Amino acid sequence: MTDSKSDLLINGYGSFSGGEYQVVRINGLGKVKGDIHCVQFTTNGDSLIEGNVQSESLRVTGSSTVEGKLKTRETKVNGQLTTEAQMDTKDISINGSAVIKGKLSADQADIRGAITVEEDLEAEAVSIKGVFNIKGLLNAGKVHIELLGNAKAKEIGGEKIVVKKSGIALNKLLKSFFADKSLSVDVIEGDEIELEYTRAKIVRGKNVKIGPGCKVDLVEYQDSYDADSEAEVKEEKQV
Amino acid sequence: MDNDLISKKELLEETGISYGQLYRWKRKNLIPEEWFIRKSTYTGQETFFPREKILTRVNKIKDLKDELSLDEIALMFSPQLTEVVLTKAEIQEHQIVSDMSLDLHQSVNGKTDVFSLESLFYLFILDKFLQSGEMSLDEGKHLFHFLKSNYSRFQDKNAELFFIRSMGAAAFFLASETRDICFEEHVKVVSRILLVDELEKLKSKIQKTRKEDQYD
Repeated sequence: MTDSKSDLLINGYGSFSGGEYQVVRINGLGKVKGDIHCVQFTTNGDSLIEGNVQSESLRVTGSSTVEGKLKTRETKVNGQLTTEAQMDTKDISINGSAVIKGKLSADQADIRGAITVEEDLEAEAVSIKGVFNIKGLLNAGKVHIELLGNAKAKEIGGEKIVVKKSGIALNKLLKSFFADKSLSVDVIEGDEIELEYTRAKIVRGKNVKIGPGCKVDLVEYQDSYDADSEAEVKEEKQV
Repeated sequence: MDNDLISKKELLEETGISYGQLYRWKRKNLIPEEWFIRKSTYTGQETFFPREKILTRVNKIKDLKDELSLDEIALMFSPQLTEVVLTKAEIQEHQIVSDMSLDLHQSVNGKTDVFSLESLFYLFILDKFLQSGEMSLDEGKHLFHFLKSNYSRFQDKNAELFFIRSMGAAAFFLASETRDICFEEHVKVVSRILLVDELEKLKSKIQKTRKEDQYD
């Protein structure tokens, strides 16, 4: 990027065409038609991009919708982010909600709130505190989930997979209310697995710990296995 | 059970890798998505792999992973033509393609001392045919042009190259994800090759020469 590229600033309400910029900043309500290539993309308010976005950083306070592919190094969202296609990023942190209608690849993903991914979610480390629906495979080196409600994934695979009920719900009054809130998943496979409040057909791993609130049809473990007295496991076998 | 396939469980047992490693390699694109075959069994959904391919791949990754980073290994297996450039001297010294193919390249593209991976890949393929005596030099030129103008559209599609003869006349075509194919009786399939396999061979050959050069 050279300094000769200009900035795109929308203050208030505006509609502009895409292109190459240094900084794109939308304060208010903005629409961009076409692909954007920039260093910094900031939305304070509401933005709609009718094209692909490639930017070093993407910051959203409010809401932003990208109708094409999104590629960034750093993504910070306070509010809502929607992408209509795949998203590729290094660090993503979301406070609020995100809907990714393609595959999401990242290095580090930190989500507090809600996330929906229409295809696979791949990252080296994923931490989700809240609810989610991953319609494909959640594949990560480290998966750390703190459940705040119902969550769903088709499959989860990785090195270390931890699913917990969030501390907030530990309150006794909430306990009965929470009992039917859980993570539903077909298959979980990993090296180290610790689960709470998870309904799964199959859990396969080296060291497997099944905690309270779990309903698992089949556990296959290699080295160690442990199940809480409040867990329901239909069948377990060492392989 | 289908003998050509191996279940994920068997694969782990046979190779001694863990679930974590397998998922990691998938994330890093060391194992192509199409090799994960989902099938229903009495225990529900299970994942299978093409036996030969996955065993070869896993063993190769195990061999390489101490010397190369996972990203470097991924590059080697990728169908993409990466930005490698070799000099004519390097190619000759390590006999990556024959002098005959280099001459052919010169007659088509003029004199050059540096070769992109792309050109080298096309030469590598036709070199195979030339050396086996299955192809004439003119047909080689034809194939070079054909690949040059068409491979890029097929590179991510698991493309196969067909080299056929009908009443002696040679023809080439590219097909992606070939399932079944049938020819009339006059057609002789001289050769069909999976391009991604050839590219992998070429890339590991180049990798090897680079390694040797480091220690020279």
